[in-house]
Amino acid sequence: MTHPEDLLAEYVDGTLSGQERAVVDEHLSTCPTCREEVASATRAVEALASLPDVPVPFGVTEPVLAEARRLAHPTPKPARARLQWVAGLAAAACLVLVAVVVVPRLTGGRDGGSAVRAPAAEAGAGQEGLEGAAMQATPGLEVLDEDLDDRDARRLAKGAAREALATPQVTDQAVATPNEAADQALAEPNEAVACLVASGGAIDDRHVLVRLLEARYVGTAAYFGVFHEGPGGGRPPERVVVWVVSKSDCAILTLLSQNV
Amino acid sequence: MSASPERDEDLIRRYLDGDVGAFGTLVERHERRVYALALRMTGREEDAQDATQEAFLSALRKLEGFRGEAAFTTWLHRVTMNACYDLLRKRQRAPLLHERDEEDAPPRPEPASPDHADAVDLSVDVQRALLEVPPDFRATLILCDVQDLPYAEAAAILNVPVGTVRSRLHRGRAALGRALQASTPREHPEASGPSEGTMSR
Repeated sequence: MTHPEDLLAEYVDGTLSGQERAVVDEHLSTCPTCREEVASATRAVEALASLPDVPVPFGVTEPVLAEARRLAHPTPKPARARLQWVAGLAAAACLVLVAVVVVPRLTGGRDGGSAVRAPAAEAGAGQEGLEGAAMQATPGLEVLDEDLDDRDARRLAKGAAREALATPQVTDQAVATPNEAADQALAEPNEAVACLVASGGAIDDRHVLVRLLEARYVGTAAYFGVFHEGPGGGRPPERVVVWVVSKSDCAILTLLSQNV
Repeated sequence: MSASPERDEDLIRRYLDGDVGAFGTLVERHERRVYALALRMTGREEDAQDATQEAFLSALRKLEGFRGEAAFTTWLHRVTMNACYDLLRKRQRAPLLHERDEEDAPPRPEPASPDHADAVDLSVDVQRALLEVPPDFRATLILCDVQDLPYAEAAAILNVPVGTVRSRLHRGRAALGRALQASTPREHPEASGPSEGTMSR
């Protein structure tokens, strides 16, 4: 028996002409194989139509936008940019990970685990060789054209908490291509850091600034500072604190903390 | 497409003329579809994020050479699909979508009723079954039945003749339908009735 295979997709879609449809109906009346396939296919179409829309996790396309900015405005790097570069790389790795952190998984997979550990490792590398906290590598400023709310801030905190937990083992491949693209696009952090300090935030051995973002907070232009807070002296942080301050007058818009 | 929003091609030209915001608009416009395509194709949020970034970065780098020979959406879908194939090749391991940490899962509707909770569970089953369908067929299913693209568009994205799309679509659907029935027989009691003739295999 010849099966009208090239017509069956459109038969299920209901887009065949009357004549073609009649041909298929005729065939189906005598062919259990095709009947079964059409029933399965119909079930599949209904199931696929039921799949929900998925929101794009926060920050996923930010490295792309950063790269777009970089390509549009190439800026020469300062000669002593190595340290900043490493810090930037760490921050960029974090940035990529925000997305991961927004939807963390208990994958148990090796790659997943190493990806989460990577920023800690890089951040550690960035701070190695520095004399004390006063010279801790300041993360670059990630500029997001996005409006964030408390839930987003909470995610930032959770992300940083997760990262703090991760053991700083050096991993080989986790800091991969998108991060390299993003690292050079981080903005100069001084103004944001000054604003955080002006609002009362301490940046020292026990309050380590691990991430810095510029975005809107419920409509207000703001800086987001993510701190690891702990006993200092290189011991692991106990909590993550996110400061959100107004960009215009450095007033505190919100604060939240997350235990590690 | 209505006349009011700026065309993709115009946004690209503006970006190439130095307007960074135009590229942002382009990304914003397409990121949902790109991410959804990648998520359905790879079944892993981590991979979907990687593929989305890779697709847009690769698009960004090739924008200069983009001459509008195909619609930007077609081209972007193709780039995304290629990124997914690369990831699938690189990471030949079990998909883990369903093992994600529920607490931090992306916002989704609260189960308002038992029916709704069933529907959410069902979509996980659908995704899992989808991953049992071979990639070439899965790609066709996602483009035609999830993204509702015309066959010709799917053919252009996958770089195959329309006839191939037709046959892959039908084969893929049949395979998915069987996988669904195998995984959740209770969801389809009506399909196992003798009058349907669906149990003949």
